[in-house]
Amino acid sequence: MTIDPRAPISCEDARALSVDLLYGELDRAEQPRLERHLESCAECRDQQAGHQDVRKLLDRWRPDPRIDEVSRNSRRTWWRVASVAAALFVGACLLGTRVSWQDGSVTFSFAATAAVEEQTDLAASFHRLIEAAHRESNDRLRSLHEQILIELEQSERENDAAGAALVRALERRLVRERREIGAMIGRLARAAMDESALTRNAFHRMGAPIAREARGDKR
Amino acid sequence: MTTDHELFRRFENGSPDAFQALVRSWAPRLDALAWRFLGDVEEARDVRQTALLRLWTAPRAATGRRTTWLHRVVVNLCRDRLRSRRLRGRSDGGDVRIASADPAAADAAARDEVARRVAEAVASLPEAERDVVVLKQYADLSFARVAEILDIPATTAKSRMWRALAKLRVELKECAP
Ligand SMILES: [Zn+2]
Repeated sequence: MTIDPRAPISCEDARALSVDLLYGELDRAEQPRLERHLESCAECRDQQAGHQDVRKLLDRWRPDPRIDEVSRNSRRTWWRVASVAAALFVGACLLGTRVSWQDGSVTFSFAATAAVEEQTDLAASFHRLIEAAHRESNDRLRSLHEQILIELEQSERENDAAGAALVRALERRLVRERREIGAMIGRLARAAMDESALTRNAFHRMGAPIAREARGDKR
Repeated sequence: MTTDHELFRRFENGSPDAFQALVRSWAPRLDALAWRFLGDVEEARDVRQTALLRLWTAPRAATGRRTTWLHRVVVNLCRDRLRSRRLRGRSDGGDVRIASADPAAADAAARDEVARRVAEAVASLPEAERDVVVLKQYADLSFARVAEILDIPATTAKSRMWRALAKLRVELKECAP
């Protein structure tokens, strides 16, 4: 498409071109059209000049010096991503646990573990770590569920409304429990992240305390 | 020098080294972007972390053009955080906290009153205009890319930028050089 440099343009078009000019994106072919508009339109001319000053002011807002620390710590960042990925993954699995009240009985359903592609050694060990943490955490939740079921039987509630109220109370308890497990895994992930010289072996070892804590063992 | 494109391709083919290199290359950029929205270094790092995790866990084919996708994830996460901040009414005199817990940073920020005013003025823009300003002015992306990230026409991105600059001009008139 050829542009007629003498064809007049609207203020709206001039503003788009003016913004292009401001950020160095103006097509050379468009420049005469913008210039002609600015020559004849005082309002656009004034705004163009004002915007140029504003742009300079905006440059005064420099990034926080701590923002650059990441690039100097990129190795740590990678491990941080991996360890937090493990924690979040487990958290998501736990959140997939549901309680439902149907036909007078309480059902707990467990989310299936999403498959993580085993692409490499590292991904595979990462996967095993996640699996172990997930299994252990779910075991802990399962035993809580069993305990709750026993309590339910003992309470001998037959009324649906009362049953539903009880389920809500149980759900709250489960939420608390999940939050606790999530926080625990988060703490471990943070501890791992703070360890500056994390090696592949250290990453493996990280799985053990997660599993231990998930079981509720005291060291 | 390996390009982002090449790194993303290797990442998709399952190379964990490529993911590590992507993290190295992208973490600072994503931190900087999120920080412009949130004004808080730790929160910005959380957002970057979440975005990179999503890259790790997202179905490979679902992310489209990866660099656009990563920016979009960060913008959306920041929007969510800013919205919930507003809902909680927990903004301390403006949405941007230019200085956080670090007293050294607070000092540096206080020394540059203009920077503080600019940060506040940008934060006070309507969301749609603020997004364009942050991506264009501070992330230094082309209008075409800004438009792609925000899923709007490039002409819309430019007119939002124009309106935003007009508002900022009024807002910052006392700082004018
Ligand atoms: Zn005009």
